Amino acid sequence: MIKIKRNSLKTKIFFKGIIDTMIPASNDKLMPKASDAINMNEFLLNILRDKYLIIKLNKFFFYESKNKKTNFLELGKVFAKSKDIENIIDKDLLEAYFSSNLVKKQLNKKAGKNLSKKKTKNKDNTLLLKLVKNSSLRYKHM
Amino acid sequence: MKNKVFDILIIGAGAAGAAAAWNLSGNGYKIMCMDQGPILKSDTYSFSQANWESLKLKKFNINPNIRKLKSDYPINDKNSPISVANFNAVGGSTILYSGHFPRFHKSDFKTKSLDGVGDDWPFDYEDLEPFYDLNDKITGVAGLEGDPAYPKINNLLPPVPLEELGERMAKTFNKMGWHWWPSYSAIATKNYKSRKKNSRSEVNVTYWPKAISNGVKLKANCRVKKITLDKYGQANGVIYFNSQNIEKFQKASLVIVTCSGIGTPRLLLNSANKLFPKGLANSSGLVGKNLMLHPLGYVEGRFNKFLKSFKGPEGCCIASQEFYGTTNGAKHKRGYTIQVLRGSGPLETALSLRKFKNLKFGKKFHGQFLKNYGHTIPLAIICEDLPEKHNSVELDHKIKDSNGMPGIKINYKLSENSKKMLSHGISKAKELMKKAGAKSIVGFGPVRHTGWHLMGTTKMGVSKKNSVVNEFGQTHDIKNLVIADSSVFVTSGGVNPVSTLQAISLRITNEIKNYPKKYFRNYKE
Repeated sequence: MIKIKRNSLKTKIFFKGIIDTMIPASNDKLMPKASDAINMNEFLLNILRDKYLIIKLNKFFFYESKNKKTNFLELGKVFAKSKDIENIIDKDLLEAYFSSNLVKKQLNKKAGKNLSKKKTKNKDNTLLLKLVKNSSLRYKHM
Repeated sequence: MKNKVFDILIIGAGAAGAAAAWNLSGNGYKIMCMDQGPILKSDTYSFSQANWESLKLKKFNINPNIRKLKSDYPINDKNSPISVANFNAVGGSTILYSGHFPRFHKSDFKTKSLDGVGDDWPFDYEDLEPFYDLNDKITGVAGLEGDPAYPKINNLLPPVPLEELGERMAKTFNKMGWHWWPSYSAIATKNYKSRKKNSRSEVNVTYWPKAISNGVKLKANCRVKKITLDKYGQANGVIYFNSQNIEKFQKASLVIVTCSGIGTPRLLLNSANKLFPKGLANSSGLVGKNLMLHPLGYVEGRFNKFLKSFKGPEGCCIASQEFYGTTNGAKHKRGYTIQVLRGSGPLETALSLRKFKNLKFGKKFHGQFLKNYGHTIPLAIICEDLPEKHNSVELDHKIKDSNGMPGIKINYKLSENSKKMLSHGISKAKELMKKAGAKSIVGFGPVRHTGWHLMGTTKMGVSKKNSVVNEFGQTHDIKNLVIADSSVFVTSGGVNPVSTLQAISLRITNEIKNYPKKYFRNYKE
């Protein structure tokens, strides 16, 4: 029976299959797939503390590896599609993904692409004063 | 080493403690301030880090039950729809706060006379005004003069930038004919004193440097266990755990408690003795009672247009006081502030979408995320909470902190008035959001993880029977025991309390400076 081992290359490949199925690259290729963005060692260290996850994975490994050649990447993709793993690792994955420098850089690029072609000027006090002049208050005087 | 006697011992180095220490310093007193938490370098704060969103989930989480740091104490809030938010370190919650800095309104001090609810404070806005002004000057408050909701407020720094989100909402408020104004924010919108532009003003940069240079001795990682009394029933010092967890005694002639609306009653209750079996200075039975929390409603609108709503200082943009105080025709008494916040960062956006099942993994992931990130405008509805005795803080001996001291239990129920007010606020905020052009709107309340504002648990008043302290924070029972934080609040107002609690701390310590005989036994000129 193949068991999940924290530090093995096979485990990393297996989880690469999982997380890249959960967060693939965006269609326009601007947003990276998960394994390109996150530090796999740190990520695995976090999620494989969960004993429940280990038990679940070992059970999966037992059933899936019986009659097939073990392609760990494909195994990961299959496991991800079963949705079991999502609820267990979703928060850790989102945290790792959106904390990554690459994703932040790409989001900033995306923000740049979505701005109008005109340069937006800083809104200064003139506009604020013009807007706030119309502000009114229903105010009780003591 | 001989135990030195300090003239004044301040317990708690947060917003109120820092203001108190500064104001009393440089007047010839030997002053010590103790805090159960550490001194943190500002470059380690979550706000200063690239991975700030991640840090906010863990060691800079607002919930002490999630942080579980050595400086935290456990809080049993199962009996409350709102959980406590705080931060235990030198600087207190100002290390985490977004910097909202509005003042109370005049009417907040007279709710009984005006609306027949709550109680009247033993002083007015005008009595506190000089201390609001002083606190603003030291802190550096961004805003705009001319707000019709307040008497004249001077010396404001330029207002925080509107950005596209703020501009849209400002125009919407104008279409609705509702009051709005740039948020009063403790953010240096230009270089101010030692503060760089765009930095938040927290007490480790505003009050502490000057207090320490004036000679205040600041002891971090020291948790006070009990305040002790001499044979005359006067405070004579504290028993505390030092940074090595060894129990020590520190003598002091005057003790000032600034541990927050939950920390202060916790300490007083834990200091119970033969003379005060129900808790120190608790002859009224009110220590820990009348807890007020500001039930918070949340409304969020999603827009097709990419608004870059995450841009700008977190939390601070514009605010409306249109429904502040009692609204004619409303089913509730008193009222609320609508605050326009900033959109969440990417991680918070993703986690929130996931929580509400609006983010699926797989091919649709990026599309769903990007439809929301920078496309949402959040509103907070901060409801005035009325004091009710059954809303309380008590010791919980079943849970202990790292020194073996009991944690606390919160007993809190939303009143019918609060429920009606929340419902009104959420409804109005949704109306506003619809007018602003939101394509989808969600709204709910009270939001659980929003118990930042902790007030009322050692109420201020004239009579010994229905208050714990007088208008200058002096406990009725023990003349040299003073409380100078938000636990003395009589009512909660419908705005963030930090500006008011610091002004009160300054007023209280001013009284100590001017009339020391009232506080110190055997005071010699």
